[in-house]
Amino acid sequence: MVRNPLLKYTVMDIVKHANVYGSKYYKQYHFYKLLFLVYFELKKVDIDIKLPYSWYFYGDLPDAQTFEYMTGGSLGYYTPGQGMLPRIDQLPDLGIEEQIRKKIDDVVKNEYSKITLNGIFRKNYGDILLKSTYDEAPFEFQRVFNRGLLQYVQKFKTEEGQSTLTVLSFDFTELSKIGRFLDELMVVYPEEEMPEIYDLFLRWEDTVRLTILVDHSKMIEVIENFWEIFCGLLRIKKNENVLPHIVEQWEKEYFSTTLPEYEIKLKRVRKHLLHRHLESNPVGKNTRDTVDNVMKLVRDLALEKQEAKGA
Amino acid sequence: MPEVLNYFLDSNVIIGYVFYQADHWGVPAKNIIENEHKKHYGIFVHEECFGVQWGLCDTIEKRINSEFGRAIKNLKQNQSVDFLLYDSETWKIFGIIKQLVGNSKGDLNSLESEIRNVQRVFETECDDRREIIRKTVMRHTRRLPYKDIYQILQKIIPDPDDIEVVLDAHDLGHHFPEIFLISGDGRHIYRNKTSILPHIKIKDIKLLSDYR
Repeated sequence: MVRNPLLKYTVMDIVKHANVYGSKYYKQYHFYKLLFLVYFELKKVDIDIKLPYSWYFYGDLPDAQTFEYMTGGSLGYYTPGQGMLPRIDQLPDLGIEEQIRKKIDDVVKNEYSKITLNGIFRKNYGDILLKSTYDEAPFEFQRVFNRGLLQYVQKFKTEEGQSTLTVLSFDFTELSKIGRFLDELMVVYPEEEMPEIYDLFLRWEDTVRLTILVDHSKMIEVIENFWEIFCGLLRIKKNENVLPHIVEQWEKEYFSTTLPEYEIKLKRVRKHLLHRHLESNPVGKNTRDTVDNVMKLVRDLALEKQEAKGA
Repeated sequence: MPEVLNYFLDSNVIIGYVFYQADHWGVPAKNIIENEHKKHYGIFVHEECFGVQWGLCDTIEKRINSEFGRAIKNLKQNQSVDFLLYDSETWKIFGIIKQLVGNSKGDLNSLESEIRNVQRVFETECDDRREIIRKTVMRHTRRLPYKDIYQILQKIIPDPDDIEVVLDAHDLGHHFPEIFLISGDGRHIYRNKTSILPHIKIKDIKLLSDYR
């Protein structure tokens, strides 16, 4: 049953054009990004195809379950990377007015014109799609993290993963650049919209600084793991047209399993880094005095609270 | 060989140790936790100190760590000591921030670095001491309500939480008749010890300050 003919028509239109420009170069993420950009542009001409998607690891991610519910067909069928693209020569009208179909065709063609040249895909069209999608991301934090820090550090990862990195793999210039990304992330973190993991973010930021100081080999993993935890909450908060029970399921899983497990993981690596750092950096007198004052402050606060509870 | 005693610890002993400061509270707490005797605490004290949602040690430590993190964010965002002092006025660590600002003499980089240092040392030391507690203090779970004793104690001890602690110690007293209950609070349990002791299986109730 086709509950959302506009969505189905748009997807088929995108696939039809992909075949024209060369389906062999057309990957899953290209399809997802293009679908999102078409959805976004169609909204500007008052056509809402109600694309079910959320913001996730690599930008937007269509929700396959809702898609199937809306169109009666599997998203995988239209998605390259899971077999050949279906050949679509003729688009069905699906009961959509001709004028609307024409507007959709125009937007799809226009989006393809940005990534093709002389009838074939441009060389860097994946990057163009990613950049255009991230331009629409709800938070600057996503751009700085995914298109900045993450992209930068992952360049240092070999095919074997980060296990090939050593304790001092990065040079001063590289570390300064990573430090600047962290500075920027501190400023742009969406504190009001994502308060649930704000303290965790602050702890994570200091943990990355610790990897810079004592163990570069841990850095990429620490960065990648936080991106996952951030995106887990992001998709709960920033999604459109996804069936409510699916979002509820994400939420339940995130707060009952994903987040607590991540907190334990971060605590473990942070503890290891803190000990290494303090082993090689003995506590100076000023720091000692201040820490003593903090301890006294916290102890008195705890005792006051305990007393107030019993009063 | 010296006799090994059994101590049952109230939450204020645990708090005094986790947030150790070499003063009238911290020193005896350290002397007790780090001595050779057997230490125990009840599930009630454990929850009060380390309970997932409301544990005093965890919630307060988290709050303080959060304020340190926010101080660094504030510096990054505003690049100004004045902004930091203004924004942190209502924080618990305001006095600490003022002290650090004074020490930094206006150098933002050294201020940020020292805030990080202090937070890291604080976190590490709390964690390490928590680990010592986990390894050396045995947790006891009481399964009986001791309703009759509860009713008697209710007339002597005003705070119901304190009654639970005393009953936990009493329950353990069946296994270790020579057990001592140690509390930092002289007002509720200790002050009434002569009325309490005849009803429970504890050798004595001691004040934390006795272990200085």
